[in-house]
Amino acid sequence: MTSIFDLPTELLFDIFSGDNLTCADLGRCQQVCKTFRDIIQHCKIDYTFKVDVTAHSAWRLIRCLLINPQIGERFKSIKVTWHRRRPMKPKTWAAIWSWTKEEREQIEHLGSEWLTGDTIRAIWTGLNSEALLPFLLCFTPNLESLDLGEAFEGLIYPTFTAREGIRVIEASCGDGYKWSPKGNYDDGWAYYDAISAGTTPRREDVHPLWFHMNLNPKQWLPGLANITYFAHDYKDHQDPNGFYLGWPAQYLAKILLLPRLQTARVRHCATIEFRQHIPLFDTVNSLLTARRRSTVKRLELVDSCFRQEDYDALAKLTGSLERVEWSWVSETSRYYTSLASISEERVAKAFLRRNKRTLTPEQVFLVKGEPGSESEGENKEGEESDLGSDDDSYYYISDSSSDREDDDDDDIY
Amino acid sequence: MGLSASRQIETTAISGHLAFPTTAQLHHINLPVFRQLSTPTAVNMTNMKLLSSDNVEISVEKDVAERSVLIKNMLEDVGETMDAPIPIPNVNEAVLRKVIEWCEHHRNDPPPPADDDSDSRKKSTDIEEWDQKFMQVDQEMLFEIILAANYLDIKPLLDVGCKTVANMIKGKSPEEIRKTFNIQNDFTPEEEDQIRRENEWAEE
Repeated sequence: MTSIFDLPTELLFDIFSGDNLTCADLGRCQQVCKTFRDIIQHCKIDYTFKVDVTAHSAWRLIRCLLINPQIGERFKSIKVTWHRRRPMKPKTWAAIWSWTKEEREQIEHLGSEWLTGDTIRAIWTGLNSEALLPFLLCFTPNLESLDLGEAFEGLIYPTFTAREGIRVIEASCGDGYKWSPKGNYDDGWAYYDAISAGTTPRREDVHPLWFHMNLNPKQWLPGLANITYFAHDYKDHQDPNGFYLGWPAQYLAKILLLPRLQTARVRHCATIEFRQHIPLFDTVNSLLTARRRSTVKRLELVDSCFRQEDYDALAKLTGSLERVEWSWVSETSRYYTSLASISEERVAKAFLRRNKRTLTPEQVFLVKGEPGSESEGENKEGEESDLGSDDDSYYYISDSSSDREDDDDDDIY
Repeated sequence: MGLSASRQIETTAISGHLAFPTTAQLHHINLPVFRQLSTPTAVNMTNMKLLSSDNVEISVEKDVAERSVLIKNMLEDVGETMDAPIPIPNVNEAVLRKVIEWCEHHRNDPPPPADDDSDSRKKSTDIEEWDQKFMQVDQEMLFEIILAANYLDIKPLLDVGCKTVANMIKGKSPEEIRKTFNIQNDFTPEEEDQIRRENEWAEE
């Protein structure tokens, strides 16, 4: 009788490595028998890192890794998906997580070699699971592919009022609603800042992720040293106020210097933050003194907010490019007084000049047409469908505050 | 079955292959244009024989048999000696017929994508409907087909087989998987618990 054990080990390995089986399936297969377990211990892991998902999958992974760090060596790719808390969707309000005293010490011990002190404190605080990503990258020396998805750095998405922010954070922390305005002019932002302090990186000029804060070309996180594929998009690129046009380009300059990088797919990156232009040349020049050129061969630079000089600066980092695809976002042009100076020829010329041996004019593409906002809109619909309905009665209070019966002690008005 | 003298079964009756120049002769002439013109018509209609492990001769069209990279390479190596059946020592008659059935249905499939597209091949998790039906066999036959596909080097069939097994595993608890494949649990309860905790992170 031919059974599953008549299959040679490499076929069982192929079966377990196929895309049909999830990490959860493989976990259960490991419990079946010793043969399965031995084989699966050699299977690579394609992991989806879910930021701020209510089930706290990233936190549970880190807890396992603290006990079984060898699991991290199997990670081959990480794709990040974003599930930030939404004021109108109480089902998305991921609760705070906590560590045991030993775990806190372990995190500090392991993390201090690679991570900034602020990052470790954010991991301890337990509200922003994006802080766990750089820590995860300390465990994954064999990682080849990292897709940051449509990143969003804030705890709450999208734009919210101070009262909404306070309500979400305090609900997440499990406390009752404690804020009351101090005087007539207290709008609540000071209180919000106090209770959310340290959960996201604070910088004057830009709004980075914890991932960005731990990019160090002099000492890459172990999980970045072997990355060949990197992708990074940004969620809130259509901010009508022009504050959030993309993720900060100064970190792109660092990322391009990842030692093994082959392909970089960049969307919605910007050199403009809070309506200020931050020239890329300064970052690039400081990096070039420390390191050699980027190894990147394929660069996609789509729907980004750069000035001509920023393209020149980026091109200066490269030298092995075989293909460049680029485009800019037109609707944000009003924040770019010098946008008119961007010309197809000049951008192409900048890259061609720095990549003479590998790049020909036919390999530089200007991506025309829609920045893809239509299709993204559809996705968002689908994404929100299971987040619960909007009728959190709290939000309709302003019409008839007197006849509300439920939600007494949470009432802020 | 199959212990007695070998039987010969003709699946298709085509006797005209002598009328066409053989591949070896064509190689001899070495005219690229001529070769290109003649291969699709001349070779496709040729029949050949396979000999299963239980000594049954099965007649099969050459281009069907050449879905197997093993047979294809073998034919290329030996040139034109198609009269003698090719022994397939690892595969019995029932399995070989099943494999040939698959090859016949997929005889006109486009060649597998080149290496840099191998990801996209792996990525498609679906099994097409005909293949799903084809794979509705008992477990013994399923594993035999996979082993045969592996031995004969028929990559797409091997993929379908592996995906079928993966689908039998998907979403099941360890106990259900053991039951499905008749597997003995060789862990102590402590070991099992330890492994369960090690993998807790993966559960949604």
